Amino acid sequence: MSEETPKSLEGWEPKIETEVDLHRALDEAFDYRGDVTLMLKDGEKVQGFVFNRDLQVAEPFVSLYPPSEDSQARKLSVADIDGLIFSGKDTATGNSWEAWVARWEAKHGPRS
Amino acid sequence: MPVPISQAWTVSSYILKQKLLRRKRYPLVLMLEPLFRCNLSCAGCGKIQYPPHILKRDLTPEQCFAAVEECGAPIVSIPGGEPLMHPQMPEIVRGLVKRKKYIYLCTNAILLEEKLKAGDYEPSKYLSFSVHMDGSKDDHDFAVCREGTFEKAESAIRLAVKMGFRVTTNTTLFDAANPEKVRNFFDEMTALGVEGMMLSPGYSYDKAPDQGHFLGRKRTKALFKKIIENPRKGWEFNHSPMFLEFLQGNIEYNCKPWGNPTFNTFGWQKPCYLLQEGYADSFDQLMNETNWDGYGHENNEKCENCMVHSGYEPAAVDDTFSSPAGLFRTIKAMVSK
Repeated sequence: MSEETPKSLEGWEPKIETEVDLHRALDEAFDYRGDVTLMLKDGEKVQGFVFNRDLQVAEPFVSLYPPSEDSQARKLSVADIDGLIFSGKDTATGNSWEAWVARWEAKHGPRS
Repeated sequence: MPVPISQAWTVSSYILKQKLLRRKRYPLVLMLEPLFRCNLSCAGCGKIQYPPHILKRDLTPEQCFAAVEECGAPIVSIPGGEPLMHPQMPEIVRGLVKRKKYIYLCTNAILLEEKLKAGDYEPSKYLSFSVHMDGSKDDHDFAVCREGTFEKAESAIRLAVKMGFRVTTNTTLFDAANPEKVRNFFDEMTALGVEGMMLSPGYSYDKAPDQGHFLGRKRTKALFKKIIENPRKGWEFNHSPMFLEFLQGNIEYNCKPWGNPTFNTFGWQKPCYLLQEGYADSFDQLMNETNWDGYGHENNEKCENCMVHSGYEPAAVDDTFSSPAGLFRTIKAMVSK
């Protein structure tokens, strides 16, 4: 990608100019612990959690679960994808650990 | 003896069969993750950070049974998430007992007492509750980010032991662990009547909330040597003798991630329980299409500091059964205990 990957991917819409850009962005989407929205070449927008991708096979694909707990997984051909947005909340970020340590130390004193 | 003779026999004969069939790779323990949601949010855990719709997904009993049949491993470990939150867990456990699989149901035990009192589970030689206990009261409650958890788990262990269930503990250690405190904690667990204790250095999940306290390889060996080199009377570890030697740095192994394959709501996880590099649609595809040589502490930077049992326990067990020298090493380690 011509642009740098931001620290937090939440809300990011990577600039896709080449196939390499797209593959890198889809790799990031696979690693991302939030939903993304994929823009397909036919105009459809598909939202969901990307849980798998294989970009090395003859027909590269991504698999995602749409945001309804009883929905079936959807497998999409990478060739059909035009772009993506990291649209959902990144569940792996936040200050929960720091907040817990502060709460603990306020009650028990500093941990050695 | 930390496991019943029937379990030791089943596992030994299974491995010997794999050796006779000249199978280079074989599953030993299936890591069956039927859900990702949990009632705790532990500092060192990178397993549960998913959007709500993913956390609400469960494997069905049928999906669990199919994975167990497909894999064929004699032992099934059920981690998660918190397995006791799965509404059909009793049915899953009954189905696995019926299939004569040795089950380690890994739980933080917050719900265990309630489930036992409700009669959801029956004691069986095939079923062990593996209770997550990360050290003494303060250390455990701090690690799991909730006060009162240790006492709840301790009470559930007492009840489970009293009701005739097999109970083990599993303890993950981080760099702040105090060896003497850990040794005293092992005494405490032994006094509770647990059958065996499992221990592991924390794996450095890149999604875990606390990124500052994972152990490196050198420090892992030094820490475990201090803790288990001179075991106290009564301690039983639910590990192979050679894995305990490995943790102390007395022997080096290469990771054998195929020994503990993982199945969850996404499929068969490549390559192991800890790394998520993708998912295979079938167990055969996982075993045959994963580039196994691309992993392990010498081959992959993501594996550099990992000494976790899911890859190294199979390596230790495989060593025991691979040659007379391996068997001799194991006997020597057992005798010198």
